[in-house]
Amino acid sequence: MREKAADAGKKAAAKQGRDLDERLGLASAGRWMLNYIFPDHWSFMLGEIALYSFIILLLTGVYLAFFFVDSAHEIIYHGSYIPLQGVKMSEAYASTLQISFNIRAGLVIRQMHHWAALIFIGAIGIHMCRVFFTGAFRKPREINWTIGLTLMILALLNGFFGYSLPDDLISGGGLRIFYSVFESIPFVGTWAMELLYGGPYPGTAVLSHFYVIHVFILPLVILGLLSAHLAIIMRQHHSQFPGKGATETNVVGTPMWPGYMAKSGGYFFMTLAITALLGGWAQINPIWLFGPYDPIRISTFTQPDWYIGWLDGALRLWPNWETHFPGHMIANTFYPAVILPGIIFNILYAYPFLEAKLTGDKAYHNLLQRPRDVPGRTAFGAGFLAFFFVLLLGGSEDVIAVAFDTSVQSVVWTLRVGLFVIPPIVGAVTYLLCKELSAVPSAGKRRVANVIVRGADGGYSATPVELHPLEAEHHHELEPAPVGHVVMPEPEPELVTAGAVSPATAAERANRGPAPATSAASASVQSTAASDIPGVRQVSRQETPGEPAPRSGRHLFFPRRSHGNGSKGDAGSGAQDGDGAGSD
Amino acid sequence: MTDLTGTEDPSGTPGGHGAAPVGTTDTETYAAQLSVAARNPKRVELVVGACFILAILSVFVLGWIYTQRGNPQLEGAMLFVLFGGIGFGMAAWGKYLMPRGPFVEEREVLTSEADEQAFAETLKRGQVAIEGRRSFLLKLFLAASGLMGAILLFPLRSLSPVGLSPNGPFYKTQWKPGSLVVDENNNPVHYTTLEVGGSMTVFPYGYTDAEDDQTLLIRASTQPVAPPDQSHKLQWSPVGYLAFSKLCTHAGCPVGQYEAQYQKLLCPCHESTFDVLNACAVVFGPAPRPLPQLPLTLDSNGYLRALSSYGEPVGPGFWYRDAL
Amino acid sequence: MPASARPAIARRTRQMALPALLVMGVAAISIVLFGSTARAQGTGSAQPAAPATTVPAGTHNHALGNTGGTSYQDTELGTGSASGRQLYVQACASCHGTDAQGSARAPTLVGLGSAAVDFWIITGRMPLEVPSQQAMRKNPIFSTTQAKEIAQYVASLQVPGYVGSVPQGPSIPGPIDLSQANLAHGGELFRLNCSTCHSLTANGGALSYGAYAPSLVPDTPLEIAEAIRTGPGNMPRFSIAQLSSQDEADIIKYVKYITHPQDRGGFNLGHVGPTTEGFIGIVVGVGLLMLAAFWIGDRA
Repeated sequence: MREKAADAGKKAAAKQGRDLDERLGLASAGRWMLNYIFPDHWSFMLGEIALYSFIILLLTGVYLAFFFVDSAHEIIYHGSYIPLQGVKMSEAYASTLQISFNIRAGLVIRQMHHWAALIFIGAIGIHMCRVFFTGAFRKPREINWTIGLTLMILALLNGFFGYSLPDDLISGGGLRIFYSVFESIPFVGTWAMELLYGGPYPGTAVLSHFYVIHVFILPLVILGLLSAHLAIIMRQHHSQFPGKGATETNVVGTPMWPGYMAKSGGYFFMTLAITALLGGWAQINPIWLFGPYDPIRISTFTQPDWYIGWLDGALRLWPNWETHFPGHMIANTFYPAVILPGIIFNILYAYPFLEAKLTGDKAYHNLLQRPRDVPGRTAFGAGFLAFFFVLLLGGSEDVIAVAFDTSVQSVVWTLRVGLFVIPPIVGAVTYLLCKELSAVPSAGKRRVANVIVRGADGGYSATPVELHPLEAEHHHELEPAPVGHVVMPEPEPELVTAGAVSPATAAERANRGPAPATSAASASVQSTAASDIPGVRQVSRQETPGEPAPRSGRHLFFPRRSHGNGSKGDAGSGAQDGDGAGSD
Repeated sequence: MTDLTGTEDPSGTPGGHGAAPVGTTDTETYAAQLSVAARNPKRVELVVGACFILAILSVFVLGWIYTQRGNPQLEGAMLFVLFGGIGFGMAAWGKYLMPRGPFVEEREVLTSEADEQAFAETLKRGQVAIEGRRSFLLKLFLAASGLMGAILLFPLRSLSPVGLSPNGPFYKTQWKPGSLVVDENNNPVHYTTLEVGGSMTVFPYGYTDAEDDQTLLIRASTQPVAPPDQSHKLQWSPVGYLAFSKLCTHAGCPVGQYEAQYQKLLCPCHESTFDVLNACAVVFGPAPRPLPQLPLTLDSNGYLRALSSYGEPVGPGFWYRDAL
Repeated sequence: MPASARPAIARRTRQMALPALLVMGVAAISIVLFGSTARAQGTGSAQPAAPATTVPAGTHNHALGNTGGTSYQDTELGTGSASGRQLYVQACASCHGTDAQGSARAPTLVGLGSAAVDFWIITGRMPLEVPSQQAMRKNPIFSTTQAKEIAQYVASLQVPGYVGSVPQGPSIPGPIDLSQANLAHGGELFRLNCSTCHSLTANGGALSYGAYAPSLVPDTPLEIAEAIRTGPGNMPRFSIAQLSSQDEADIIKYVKYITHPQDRGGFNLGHVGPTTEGFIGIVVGVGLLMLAAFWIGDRA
């Protein structure tokens, strides 16, 4: 009965598929999409955080846009927040108060929007680090690197514009600084800022201009570039780490359907969940405590959001220089807030091409590098990050001074010196570390682990873990370090008797590749040291040998138990059913 | 070309669209790839199901919360349960109950010399349209397009309804000789208003909303104050009143932090520090110039008035500032 | 199932190491954050008490949670009481001089007025342990009554040889009635006159050369009123002509609100704005999501 219904359902699905295919020709492309392979390594999901938080920004932003009023027109507040009743404020600020106190779920949505923005740009940064340090920007992916970098800059800008919209006292200070910074650009600065702000500061229309830019122009540009970013990825396919059969000409991982779709879709909801948790429980930008913006009012501890903080830090650390020409001048803010980011972003834009030029490497690369294998690049990147973090600290210098009970002056001078001293040190240390790591042949590689079991007679026995056949194919058991290199100390195994390794497993080990007995013994000793709950291990002894083990590292929350023989077949046939409709 | 179904496609070539398990010749290996990753699928099914049920329950709780006019913390928590339940359930489903792979797919070869040549041939097709005299047409077309882009930007001029001035807002303030000094409520400031060690924000009479006119009035002493080398400024500070532009010369923030004991002015935005008794010379931080000082005088009734306007543009620097 | 299918403990340990580190990091950060919040709102009881060599036992117990501003009214005192002089000589004279004329270490107190002296003592800032550093709020070593006695005594002092009476600074204000105060107007004045140094949430902030504006969280209405009028340390002083008594009450009401405000959005993250917000966004937001990715994806 049930099978018949399933059959009928399948037929109906096929019919619908046929209808669509006849009109749109979707089956081939659809099958291509369903079969698209995503690498399994977790670091490939960092970009997804950015993608999903952007979607959250769009969703929450649309809701907020229903209630936000982009007007600087001043009114007297008579809303429900008592400490501001009767205060003169802009309609924008009043509407943000309304969202925070009176609109259903308004505050949660507003805070989710703000947290998603912080997470969005943070995820972009970390995603960029992954791409940089593993060499994923190399040919043929230089274009996508530049698109991604542009996306990051646009995200920064849009974050700033959004941050300014509530027109509260802290963001108003940011508006003033933004004006001063870009006013300093020779020739065009003043004109451009007067157009953007609708006249000389404070301007007549700054909020409505920013609103259009924030909700319309920049999101559209970001959406377009993001689509291009993803389309190029799909065209080129993902890069991947070597190992597990990965080569330059293939992709190894999980296909879109069904595995990755479920994992990635679940990840989208997890991103939403984290954002909602922060949005409900971690108060962000409580504008009702700050009061409305007024150019004559200001507060100490005026910091921008973290992604602008490094620019603010540059402004704070830069010496008080100003350049005068006859009749003209270049203002102080021009150097740290226009020239410096200009240099930084141009270096980042040019980096893939610079590196290709320096190394003469014009080849296609689909396999990623480990950071340690390219010490020069890794050192450069680490130094660059150190530079960025010193600037970021500079943006919070007064908070640091208070927190550490020292003077702002000493913090500023420490950071000024640190800006030049710390990055080279970090770079040099990173370089040496990379060299050191790659000089140790066993560093980062894993030995086949042994399971130590205490028998009923009180003796111990060691059994090496059997590798998944796919993994075993590429696994090379670690050799002892060659003479002249680091020699690992190999203490005599005290707890493991030679006889404990059963002949059968020893034979298996031999099949997998050269595995000297000393190496196995030392591995088992390490396992002994790490295992303090032998009782749990014992369950595994009852399991029947011979079945392939799953690939390593796929469990964090679900401890593995033996599953019945039937389930494997069920799942397998299920997968066949699921795919059958698409492939026929 | 192979598919998830495992059917061998004899015509399969690298660059096809199939995602194949690694090593499909080994039936045992292949079965392993299609099996699920979970050791105990029943248990995972339970957990996934529980996640989804939790999400369903949270929907009802959310509905109840909304009818109670909401509460940010409860909403946040329930949204977390809702999204987290769905998300964790889906991800666990995908991770443990779907074919665990790994699957392998051959990459498409992006480059094809034949295609490149064909592309170039196709491009050449248009050559006949822009050859010889017609190349001038092309130039004309490009000129028209470029100028069109420029002229279409002109209406953006309306973004600033109050007009454009290369001199920026800070070229001239509303402070005139004799301007009455008033507080933010337009009340005039008498010489007895401040005690020594007091400060307040003042404006020229009638311009209390003008951002660039804001001036910090400080009473630093009971006697006129001026740095030793600028003794002409002694008459600018009747009975110890000093007035400085409140706009920082660095980035235009209001310089509000008056330290009465140290006689310093501190800008809260970037920590520029000015020496009040030394005509607000910069002693620390990124501000490049002293704060402009507004000369003050007392009228016959004892009210403070501006002796003259600011002698220089106030606020941060800009390209045309020196053209004064 | 073969025994080998079970993950070895060593491997699991490695797998758990990163998540565990991240969790520990988050925990440490929250401790720091909430710890600092608690400190900002704390009563300063962790501060080392000033050397109470000459102070009678039992006077340590002045409650800082005195919010009514009325307790100082407990006793009516005449000017220049004998016990005020005695306490002054014991605790203050070594630096400020026996006649409050000042010394190389400390300024003169003559003409300062009773409000200033009272403020310094009841907030525990005086007597000062190390005269060179900025006085910190501590548990006061004198009771409010004793502080008032000292203040009255100091206010009664005259400069020897000075003709007429020395003009005195503000004296200790009377009871402060906050019931008629306007919260919103107080907020406007606070944002114009106070938040530049004390921050919008009255948490305090940095000044130049290591000085700082203290947090207003532990302050009582009386202390705030005295500080507004006398301008202790680097704080400007506000005259009656500048801020009326009504303005003063408005400001005090707002300070009492903003130090324990309506945190509708959840945990307040220390009320220091984007610095902690960015930290939480990266460490908790992106951090948790990276953990999730770590779980979903492969780690080999």
